Amino acid sequence: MLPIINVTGLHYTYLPGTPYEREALKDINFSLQRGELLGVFGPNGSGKSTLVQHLNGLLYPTRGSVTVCAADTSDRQQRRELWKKVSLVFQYPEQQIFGTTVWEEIAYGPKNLGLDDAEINDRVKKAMQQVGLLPEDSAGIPPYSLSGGMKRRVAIAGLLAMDPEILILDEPMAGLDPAGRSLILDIIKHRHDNSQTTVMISHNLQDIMALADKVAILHQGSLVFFGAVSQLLKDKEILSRYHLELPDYLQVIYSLQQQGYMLNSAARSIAEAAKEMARLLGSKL
Amino acid sequence: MVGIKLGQYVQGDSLLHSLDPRTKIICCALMVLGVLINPDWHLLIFYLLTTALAMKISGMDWHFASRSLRSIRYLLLITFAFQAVLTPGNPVFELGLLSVTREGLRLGSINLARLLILYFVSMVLLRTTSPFKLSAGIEALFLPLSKLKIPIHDFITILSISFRFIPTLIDQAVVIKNAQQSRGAQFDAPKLGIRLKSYLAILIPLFETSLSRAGDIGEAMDSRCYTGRPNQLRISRLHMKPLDLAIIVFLLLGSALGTFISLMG
Amino acid sequence: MDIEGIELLDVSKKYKNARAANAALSNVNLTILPGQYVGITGVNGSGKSTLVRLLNGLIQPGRGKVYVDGLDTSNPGHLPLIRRLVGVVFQNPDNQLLSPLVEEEIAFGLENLDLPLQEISRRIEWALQLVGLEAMKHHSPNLLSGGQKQKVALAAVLAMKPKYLVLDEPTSMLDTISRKELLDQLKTLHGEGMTIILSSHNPEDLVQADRIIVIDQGSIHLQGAPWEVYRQEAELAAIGLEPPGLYMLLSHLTRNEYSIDGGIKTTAELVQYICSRL
Repeated sequence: MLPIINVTGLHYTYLPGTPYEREALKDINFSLQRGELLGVFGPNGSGKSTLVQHLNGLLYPTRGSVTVCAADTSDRQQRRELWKKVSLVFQYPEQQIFGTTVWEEIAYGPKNLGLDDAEINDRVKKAMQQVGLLPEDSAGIPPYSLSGGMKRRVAIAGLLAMDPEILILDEPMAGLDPAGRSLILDIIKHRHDNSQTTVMISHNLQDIMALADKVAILHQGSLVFFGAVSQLLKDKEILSRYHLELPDYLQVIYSLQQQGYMLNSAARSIAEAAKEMARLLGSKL
Repeated sequence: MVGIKLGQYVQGDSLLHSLDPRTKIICCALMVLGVLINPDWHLLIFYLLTTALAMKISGMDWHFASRSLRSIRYLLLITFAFQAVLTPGNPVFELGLLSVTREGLRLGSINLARLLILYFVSMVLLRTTSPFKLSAGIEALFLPLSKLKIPIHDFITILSISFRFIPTLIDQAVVIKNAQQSRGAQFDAPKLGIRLKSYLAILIPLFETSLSRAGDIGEAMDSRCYTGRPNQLRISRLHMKPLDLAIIVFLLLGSALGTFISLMG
Repeated sequence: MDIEGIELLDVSKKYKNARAANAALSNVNLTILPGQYVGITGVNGSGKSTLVRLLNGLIQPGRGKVYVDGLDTSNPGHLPLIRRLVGVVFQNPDNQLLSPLVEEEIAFGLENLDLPLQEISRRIEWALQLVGLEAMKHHSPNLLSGGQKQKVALAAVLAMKPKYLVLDEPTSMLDTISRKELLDQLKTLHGEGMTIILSSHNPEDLVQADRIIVIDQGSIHLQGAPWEVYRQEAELAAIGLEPPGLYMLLSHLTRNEYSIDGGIKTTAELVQYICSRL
């Protein structure tokens, strides 16, 4: 089965040939299968945003190749059509809203896709429902009168309405409160359950530890890790070097293990972890 | 952003870069005034030579000058042509119904010179003075006005904040452009209508962000007790050296002489 | 008798337009004494931002009064002094920095206070050193990262030597490392006697506080020491909040009948505690 994303030897240089030249991505290699969820991590400036912009055709490699949905991004024509299949939600997407009504804003993408009115209507409605907005109540409201969290939902709905094969989200939970974060996770989970490919950039590992199939860690333009979450959790060195915060319960378990105590580190929730610790404390009493 | 745009500040260590911004502002203002009030050849030649010298010193070579001239060639051509044809006087040659007069050629070339001076003098100013130094210079010069209850410091603050946020706005515009492109906006569509709508998709959000940013900045300023006091720190960093004064005096004398000769002749 | 502290007496605030972004407050009573570290939490739209803006007179209460060291915030004559006492750092690092140079940003508040040039220069040095950004003194803020910008904003406020430091969701736009640095900085400042009022929807940010106030739909829902507040998982969940992972863990352990010391604030402390019991 051909991977839906295939990146080989990707190098990308900003402003080549000028005094501002900078190699933003160095020798990136990875591939992603259809339906998988990829989490991309790394500190500010590591190249995360640059990398994902290669996946929807905004950028193309200086060297190497990027193939997405069977399109080779070095080919201009193929690259220019890629947005129809790959939707990219930028950071703070509420900052790009310009529609006079919520409906208009969400319909922008589908309109550009050249769909007929009935289809557009249907997609906008579905997208609104997916982000927890009631079409009857919210469709006619000017987006600028909404709160930050609601605006973000509208913005994301605008990209969901394009029904992309791959959805890429750049730090979608930045600045959101727990309820908002929960909603985003629900959207991602929904896609994952329906075998739709998703890529998410985050600086917080805990956000999608439970859901991600693969994790990519970028550091100063290089891919320093690519693999399954379970693999990552075993690599303590990488976790500490790149400041990837494990949930507190795992931190406690690992520290106790380091001290020599026998604990099952496969605990997937706080309750399970607490049980393990209680068992440990109980066994000594 | 790639490329050095005409009018943009470029760092350097030429003599002009090291001058006090007030000197450059005063000289610029003087030449603009002179060119507008007294369009006679003696003054214009003096200014043209001074400007050319200033350009050479600050690193703008002939290649740069010709490139910048090319970008306003239509303006120059039209100004000259209109003046040559519409001025009454002794015809030099005929072009169908229109006649080019000697007076027309003379006035045309004078206006051409005035345009060139205005254009290049402001370019020297902007190229050798950082926006920040520029507003410091303006503030220092106009400070006495505040004694007349004119809120000069508020204007300077507005100028300052604009300079601070121009790069931010540009960066933001790029991000918004990419975001809309990712939704199918076409910035290079053949149809003008589509292109316009696409650019609106950048301008409207940019405007909205700027509005809410303005609100936030207002809160930050209030919270730090903004009262419209002059920037002591910034002004204290400006020093007029003997060279600055010498240049101003030189320009004043030259202008006076040029005007005097014109009046005599 | 010198009245010290920030007092909110029966404060209510309604907004005329129904814009969801501005949340109302109703009958809020709160006292914050000098030297305390108070955390304020609640979901977006619960009224946290409104509350914070009442503390330095940016907003006036519709009903009730706000006093800072005895000064009434509704008296315009008092506002300059109140704003010297209460310094505020806001959520968006970019939208607080209005000067083209870092040095000038710090000077901004000081110029407004009419301090002599020498004192201004001294305080700029001091404030930048506090946040570790002396090297950035002559840089443009456009070149700084989000975390660095927030540090500059903090330095600009600290340079004015406020008595009360209020921060409105200062970490919400920062990455993990910058967030930690900022919280550590606040801990240090508190240790040196600064009163800290920190608002955040991220419960992890508030574990260092002496006292946490939970706001829901404009009123105070819960308050108390972090352990007291965070062990009430069900009440918090009902209003859309979640305790930090560590506290949920402590809760579960307590449920299994181990009495846990409520003073535990970090995973390291918990590990230590468990090891000491084994």
